[in-house]
Amino acid sequence: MSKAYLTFCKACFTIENMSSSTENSGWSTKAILTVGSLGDEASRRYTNRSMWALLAMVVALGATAKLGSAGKLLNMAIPGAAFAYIAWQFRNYLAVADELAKRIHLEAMGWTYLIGIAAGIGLGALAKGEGWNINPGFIILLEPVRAGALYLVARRYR
Amino acid sequence: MTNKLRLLRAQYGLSQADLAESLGVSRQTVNAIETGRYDPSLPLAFKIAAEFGLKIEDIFDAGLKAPDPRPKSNPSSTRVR
Repeated sequence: MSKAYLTFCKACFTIENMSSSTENSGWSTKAILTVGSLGDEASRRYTNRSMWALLAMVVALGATAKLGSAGKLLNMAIPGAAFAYIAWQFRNYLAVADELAKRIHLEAMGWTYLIGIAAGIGLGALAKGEGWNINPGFIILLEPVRAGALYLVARRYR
Repeated sequence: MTNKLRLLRAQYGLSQADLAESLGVSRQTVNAIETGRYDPSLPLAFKIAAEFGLKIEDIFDAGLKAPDPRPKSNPSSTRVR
C-alpha cells in the first residue's frame, strides 16, 4: 500500500471526524436578528458602542427636555449626533471585518437601499396624495429590514 | 469553483478555527470556501496557497481548460510586411 494512499485514508478519516456541528455552523442568527451584526468579535465591539451611544442619547434627551430654547436646540441635535457616531462605528467595524463579512454586509445594505428607495418613493407619493404627515424618523424602520436582509444573505454562505 | 481546502486541512490536522486564525479571517469564511459557497479574493487565495506551500491552481480549480500552446510557426511566415 502506497504512502500516498495511506495519507489519503487518514485525511478522509479526519474529515469525517471534523464534520461536527461546530465546523458547519454559520453566523450567529441571534446577533443578526437582534442587533443586525454577524456576532463576530469586531461586530460585538460595534454593538456595545452603539448601545452605549443609544443609552447616552436617551439620557441626554431626558436631561435637555426641560431646558429652555437652548435646550430645545440641543434636543434636536442629539439624535443626529448619536446616529452619526453609530454610523462611524459601523464604518470602523466594516474596515476590520473579514472579506466574507464585508461582502454579506454590503449585499444586505444593497438590498436595504433598494427596498428603502422603493418604499420611500411609494410612501412619499401616497403621503402627498392623501395629505399624510409622515415622520422622517420612520427611516429607522430600515434597520430591521437590513437585519432581515443580513439574515437572508448570510444563509447563502453557510 | 471547486477546491481541495478541506482535504488539505485534514492532511495537516488543522481545524477551521486554526486555519482561519492563521489566515486572518473568520471561521465562517473558511467554512464557506470549503463548501464552495464563497470564492476567496486573490490575496486570500495566495495566503491559502502559501499556508500549504502550494500554488493557487493546486488548491482551486475553476474548471477552465488551459489553452493549447501555440504551434511554433516559421518566423518568416509571421513577419509583418
